[in-house]
Amino acid sequence: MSNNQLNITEPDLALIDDYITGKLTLPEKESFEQRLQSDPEWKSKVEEIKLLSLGIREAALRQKLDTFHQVQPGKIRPISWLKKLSVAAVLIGLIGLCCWWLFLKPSADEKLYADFYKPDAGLATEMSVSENYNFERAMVDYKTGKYSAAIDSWKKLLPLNPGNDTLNYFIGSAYLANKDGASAIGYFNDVLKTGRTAFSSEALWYKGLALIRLGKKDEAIEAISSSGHPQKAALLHKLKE
Amino acid sequence: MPANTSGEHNFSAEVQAIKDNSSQVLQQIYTDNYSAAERYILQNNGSTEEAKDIFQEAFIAVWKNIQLEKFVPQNEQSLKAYLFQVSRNKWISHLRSSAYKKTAPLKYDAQETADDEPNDTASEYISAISKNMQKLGENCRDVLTRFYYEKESLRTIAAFFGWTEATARNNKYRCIEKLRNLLKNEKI
Repeated sequence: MSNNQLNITEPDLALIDDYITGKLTLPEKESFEQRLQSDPEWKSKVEEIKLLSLGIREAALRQKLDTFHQVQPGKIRPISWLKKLSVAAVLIGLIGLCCWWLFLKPSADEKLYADFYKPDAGLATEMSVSENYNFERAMVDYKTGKYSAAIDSWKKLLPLNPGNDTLNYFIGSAYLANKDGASAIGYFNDVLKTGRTAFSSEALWYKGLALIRLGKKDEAIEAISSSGHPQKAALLHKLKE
Repeated sequence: MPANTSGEHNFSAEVQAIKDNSSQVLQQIYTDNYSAAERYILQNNGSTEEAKDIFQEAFIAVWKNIQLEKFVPQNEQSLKAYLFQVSRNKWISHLRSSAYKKTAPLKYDAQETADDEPNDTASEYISAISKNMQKLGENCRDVLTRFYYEKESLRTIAAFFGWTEATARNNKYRCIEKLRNLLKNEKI
């Protein structure tokens, strides 16, 4: 690379840096880019500064790699993350189920629903190093039974992440836990629209349960048959009785 | 936000974050992908230390290809797959190297040899710059890193060093010229 043939002056560097870092106004940027087209030497200078900037950044990134290495999986939650059951959340679910039994006298459909419904335990959360703060904050609400709060927070994230299966699945789960099966089904359908995802099987299972509660037995059988839930056979057997 | 596990959501914000050196995003990509590479290398006659070195080289190579837009990940899965592939290829290249051949036989497919390390002039030049950065004085390294990596303004840099903004601009220029001089004799 014949970079050192070029005489880059201090004002040249200042202008090129402003361009690279996006600090030029629109007219300045337009005139800069016109010069790039018409002045090959200027273009070479810009290319060189761009590469220098990348080299400087590579050196800086190399310095950070050992720090990155200190964080082992588990200390930070991966971006797309397979679900793990949290013992505490399962217990909350079980307590919820017991309360339900004690205070409600379910119909046949509701009884069947209650026999098989156990709220999704949610994802483990670690509030420390995470970009997903809002998502995880809402997950804490969900796990502590504040389903409406969780729904509100997650729904705000949805426009930024349209079609996100994780979000749709947990909004659906929160609606179902909040006894709004009809709304839940809409979100589970959105999960299923995205094709095969980590949440497809669970979405089908919970959609089926929501349908049972709404008295839509045939549709429920269809959804549950497609799910891979361990209790699928037992529930289908009951439904077909 | 969790990525869409179906891989269909728009990944351009993440790609931009990588280009902007977001430490959080880079850290997360590192952490999410290290264990798969380590597992592969450990299963193929490597040590933990070698796994770390190979993965870090692969991480830099992938980062560089994203910066140069030679690789534009469409979703998290494609980024994961690519990072794993580069790590694996680097490990295979290592196994085929003369240093390793002296100690162990080869048992890998010929088709898996492609190394995804960018090896054109631009990439080599970037690596040469990166190496020469170590030869600069500490102040110059700091100024350039703050400006180009941390994206600090000249005003912030000036305040940190107790300079005027004009001095900061001049020092940045001086440091760039030093770096260019160091590179003058590199045969690239």
